[in-house]
Amino acid sequence: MAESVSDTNALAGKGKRVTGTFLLMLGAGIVLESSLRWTGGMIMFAGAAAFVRGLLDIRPQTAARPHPHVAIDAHGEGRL
Amino acid sequence: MDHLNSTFFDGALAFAILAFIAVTATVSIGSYRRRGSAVDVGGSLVLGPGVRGWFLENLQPFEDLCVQWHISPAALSCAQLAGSIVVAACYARGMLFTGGWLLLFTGTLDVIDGRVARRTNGSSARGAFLDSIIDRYADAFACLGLAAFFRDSWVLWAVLLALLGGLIVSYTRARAEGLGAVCRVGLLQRPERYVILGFGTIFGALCEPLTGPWVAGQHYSMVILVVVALALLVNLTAVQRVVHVWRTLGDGQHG
Repeated sequence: MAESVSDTNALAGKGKRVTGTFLLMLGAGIVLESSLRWTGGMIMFAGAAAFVRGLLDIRPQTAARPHPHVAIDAHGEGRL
Repeated sequence: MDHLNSTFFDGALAFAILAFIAVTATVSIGSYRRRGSAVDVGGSLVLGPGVRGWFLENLQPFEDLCVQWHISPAALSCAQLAGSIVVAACYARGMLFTGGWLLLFTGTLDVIDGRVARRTNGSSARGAFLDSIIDRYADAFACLGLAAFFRDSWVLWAVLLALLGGLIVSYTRARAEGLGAVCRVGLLQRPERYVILGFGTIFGALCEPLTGPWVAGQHYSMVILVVVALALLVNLTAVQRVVHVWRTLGDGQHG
């Protein structure tokens, strides 16, 4: 069965959240346990950004829906 | 004053990390359990089917990426080996949080390489052999790093016992399979060992400012408790497997 657009986006969102968590934790470890605090901070920031982008992908996708300006007639066909 | 600021910052960051792990894991695993899974992923006493299914579901995007980018399972195994060396270096330098997190990452690579091999029909005897050898090295590197960290303490013996137990657990299965018996029993198989050691060192390092030296005057008390428990349980698993194989071979029920 073919994956829908929302399935694909959900999968991509999951990947971003997991990558974000990994980077966030790795950066935190570097900040806490080494002298490379700025490097760790940058990695944490990148991880947090990826995580937040992944969270935004959880929202229902609008890409697969008809444009709001496209009216749907009785036969389900769009017309301008 | 700077020292106090730094200590406060580290404590706040450690607390934030603990809170993040707790909230993310609870929400994510809870959501997975509510949805349920149609696929039987197995489970054990330590890692139930809910956690295993949730973990495998989260790996899906990375498996897809590896397949899409034609990353071979052997390359993933080599990355696992390189990661394990970094884990050993982190543990030896006392970076237990970072080492624990990277240990979980290398364990994940081990899971991904097998799944990618199956999806791309790339499973081969040579790949399986390479994977087993790298797994043993990865196990040994993690323990060697901890052994270097605890080199001046009695905990070194517990680390070496855990290393020995882990090798015996793996050898028992390999030898049993060589003799035609199946041996997949035991309390702590490899994924469980990784999870216990990885999260044990992560939480042990984060909680160090709170716990302090309350196990025989040693710092990193929580890590010590985890290592001692691991040493005992891994060797118990080895005994479980030996008994299982002994009975199986005695009954003549090979396979």
